Amino acid sequence: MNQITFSAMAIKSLSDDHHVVRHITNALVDWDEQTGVIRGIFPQAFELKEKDEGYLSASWREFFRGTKLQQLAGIAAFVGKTRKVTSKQAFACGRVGDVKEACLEHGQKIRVTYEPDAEENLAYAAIRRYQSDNMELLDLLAKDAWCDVTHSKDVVSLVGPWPRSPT
Amino acid sequence: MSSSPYRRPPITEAVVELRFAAPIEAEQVEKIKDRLTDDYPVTPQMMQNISFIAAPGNQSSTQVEFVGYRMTSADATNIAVVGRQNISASRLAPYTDWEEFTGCAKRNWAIWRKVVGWREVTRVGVRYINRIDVPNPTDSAVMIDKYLALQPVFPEFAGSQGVDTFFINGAMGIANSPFKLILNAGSTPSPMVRTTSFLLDIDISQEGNLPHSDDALWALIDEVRSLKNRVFEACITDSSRELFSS
Amino acid sequence: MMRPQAVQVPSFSEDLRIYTAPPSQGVGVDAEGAIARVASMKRLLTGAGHKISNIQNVAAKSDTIEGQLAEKRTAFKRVAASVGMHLDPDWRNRLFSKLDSLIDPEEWDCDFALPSEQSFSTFLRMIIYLHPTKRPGLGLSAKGHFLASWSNLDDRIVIECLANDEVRWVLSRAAGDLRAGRTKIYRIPDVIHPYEPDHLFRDGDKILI
Repeated sequence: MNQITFSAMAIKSLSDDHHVVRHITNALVDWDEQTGVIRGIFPQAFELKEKDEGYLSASWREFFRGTKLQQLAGIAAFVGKTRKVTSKQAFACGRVGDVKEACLEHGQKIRVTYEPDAEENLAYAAIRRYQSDNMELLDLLAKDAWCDVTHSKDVVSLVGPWPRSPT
Repeated sequence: MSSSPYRRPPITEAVVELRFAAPIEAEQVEKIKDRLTDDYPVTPQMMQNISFIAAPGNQSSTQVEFVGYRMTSADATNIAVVGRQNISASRLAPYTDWEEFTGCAKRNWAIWRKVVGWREVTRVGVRYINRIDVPNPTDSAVMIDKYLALQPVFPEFAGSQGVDTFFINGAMGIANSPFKLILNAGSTPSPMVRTTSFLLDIDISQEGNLPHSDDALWALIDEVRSLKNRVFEACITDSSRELFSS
Repeated sequence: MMRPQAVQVPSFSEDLRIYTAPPSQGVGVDAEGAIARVASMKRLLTGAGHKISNIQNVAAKSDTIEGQLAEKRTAFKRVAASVGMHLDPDWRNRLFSKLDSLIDPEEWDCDFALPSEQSFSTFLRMIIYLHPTKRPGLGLSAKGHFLASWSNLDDRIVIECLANDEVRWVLSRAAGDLRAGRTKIYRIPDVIHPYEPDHLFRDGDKILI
């Protein structure tokens, strides 16, 4: 990230009352097979991947104004630059304070920072000092801290044309 | 709807195979393969025999002989093997019923006949491979004769105890009939947890003097299947029947 | 004196060597004849009836993701065929339909590892062993592991199926319990028993015959 160009948006810690959003791919959404309703998110949605380089990626919801759906639509537009965003996925919203509290319960004092990326995601946020080898923590994040889940079909309908492929 | 008397028939594979006196051309096998693609859309696996002939100096050589194709249905339960001298239809678990299974075999045969024309059939075979899965939650020794009517018999001697594995193979003619039976039975690694499994493999065939007409050929195959059922029932016990019915 | 025989091999032994270990080497005609028969026997016992827990992950041959996922789909169906007689036909169809959804190239996340045959084998063996009457939710982790979840109101168990019959599990209850662990399939009932999980697994549609 070019910190000289974006000195006005330097890395900063996010307020506990703000929200971070994870884009959840179809395979990690726990669907009710009969109704198609989202039952929840699998804990593995909060597992670090090798490419994550030790921190969890998210987006800062309050980067955008408007209703929650409008904010998610803005985030979806950013995320869609580098990932497939389709109508069979989900967006999980977590209050920063709740995420930090859940991690602290399991011995992790995380930092949730806003780190805009001019090329890929101006709303980018990172969950740092986070380790994901504790299944209890992952489940707590999935069922509690990050339990506000929105079906992506409600989001993508606000932004078009869809689906977008990463550029 | 299954025509089996059992709710959970132990069939892991059912096979109907026809063999021919002379091999057909590789190009004909290719044509048959292409026409079977609708029913077996998964990319066919080519089968080859590869032999290496060692000779002094630089005279060693490798020979590759085209054998045929193994073709798989979309749900991976129906398999067709098309060779230069044979065609077979296999049904893997879950087995449905005889009519559905032979329906596949007949369609394959009809395509073969359309491409190749009439060829003398030299062998017809029906083979059913069964796996009897005995729940064994305590991992204790399982008496073979509780589930199979055929078992190895060993003499007692100092230190003799139960077997770790066993295998029985026998080939025999069926009296007053042109049929031959190959029977295999044995213990087998179970695909399930805390389960002891037995294999019961019944292959019944006729070689030579086979009908020329399709109707008579399939009637013969029906007869072989009936005999197979009788052999199967003779090889199992009521305890096995309870497993298949539960 | 003869007596009836019992098979004593532990049912969950993963040691196929008891089926494939050759006898002492002989060189006569009879020994060579026996070799051929034993080879044929080994193929039958360990091939057609092979234990799905010994399944290996096969590297996909295709160079497109569509081709690779299609190869995996076929591999999973082949694995399922070895236990097909124990699966309710309706659930089996739904399972394959869900598999198709999980590995749909249109939805595929390229950061994910390809789904694992070993994980799928563990998943199927687990389902048959636990014998639930409620259908699980199904997912796939970024490491290619199959995930199964059972819920009842706010209580949930999620089981991640690894290779070699190993699973990671996490169980949470509205009453405040949150427990996780790693164990073998056959130990699952024992390790979760203290949390009274029956209501999660029971009282639903048929999965097994």
